[in-house]
Amino acid sequence: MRRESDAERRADGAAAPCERVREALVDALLARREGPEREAAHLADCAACREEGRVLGALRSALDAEPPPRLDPALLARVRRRAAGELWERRAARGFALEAVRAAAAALVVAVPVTVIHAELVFAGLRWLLEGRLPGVLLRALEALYLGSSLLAVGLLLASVPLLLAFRGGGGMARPAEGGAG
Amino acid sequence: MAAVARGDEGALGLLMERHGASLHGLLARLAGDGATADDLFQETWLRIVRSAPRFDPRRRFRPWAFRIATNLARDEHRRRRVRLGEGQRPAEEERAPEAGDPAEAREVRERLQALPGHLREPLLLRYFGGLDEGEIAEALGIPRGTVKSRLHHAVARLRAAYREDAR
Repeated sequence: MRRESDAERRADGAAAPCERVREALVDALLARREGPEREAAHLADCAACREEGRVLGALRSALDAEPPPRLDPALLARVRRRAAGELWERRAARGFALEAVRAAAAALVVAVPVTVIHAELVFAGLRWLLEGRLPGVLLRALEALYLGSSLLAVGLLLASVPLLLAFRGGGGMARPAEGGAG
Repeated sequence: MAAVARGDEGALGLLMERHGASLHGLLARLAGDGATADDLFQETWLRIVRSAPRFDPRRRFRPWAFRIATNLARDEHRRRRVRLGEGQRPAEEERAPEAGDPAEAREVRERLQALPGHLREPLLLRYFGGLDEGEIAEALGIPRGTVKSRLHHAVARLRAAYREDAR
């Protein structure tokens, strides 16, 4: 029995299978798959689609003929070190911010009660010495000035130690080396 | 990526192992020469690290990373064209064929490089990057249907050129 030619099929309005098969052939090429198996019967039957498959197969061979560029392990290692350096800086910045908050909190918790108790003792001595000799308003102003400056000084002193440690230690982390081979 | 955003080097290493080769392969095809591809590869990973805190965890890593790489390659291509002058082709297209490079493969490679960017990029992402159509749509910020039509259009252009060459 004579097989229908592609032209005859198209004339019959039956071009759709060819279009579908050619689309499947392109999809297979793009996905680097073998030709569509379910279209094998059509391909065996249709010379035009078979030719299309042959051309696409040759195109694939040509695309694959150029070997894929190799990723140099030394490049990968170098990029990894640089990227790790960026990560370290981020961690260090986060670590320093955390240390700063901790230091401020510790300074607040320790400095305020210690300074207030100390100031109360000093005020008791001042009142014993100067009460009656200085006006009350001036005495209270002196007390307020003393308390304020003491709080500031002790707070700064207490906060500076952990802050300095955090700054010197980079948040407690060692920076990875970026140099080296590669 | 959340771990990378927190500064986890191990997580970064895992991503580099998993996607490094395909990213580098794609960049080599996009850039056209190894040295530029190496520079772009490094820049891509630095951008990935810097952008990690802004990465939307609902998105997929691969298309996002390939988008960064494609944009960098596109910028580099533009800079090179400006340097060379609009009328000239970038260096890769002028390079001498490698020893043992079959003429056919070279011809196809040149045709591929000569495709307009909007056809070349999806084709390279699909064929050499291994991204599916959905991932390419994400990577290029275009609808999936457009990806499909551009892919088929790109193959049609290459195929036509290949047929011409075969005659």
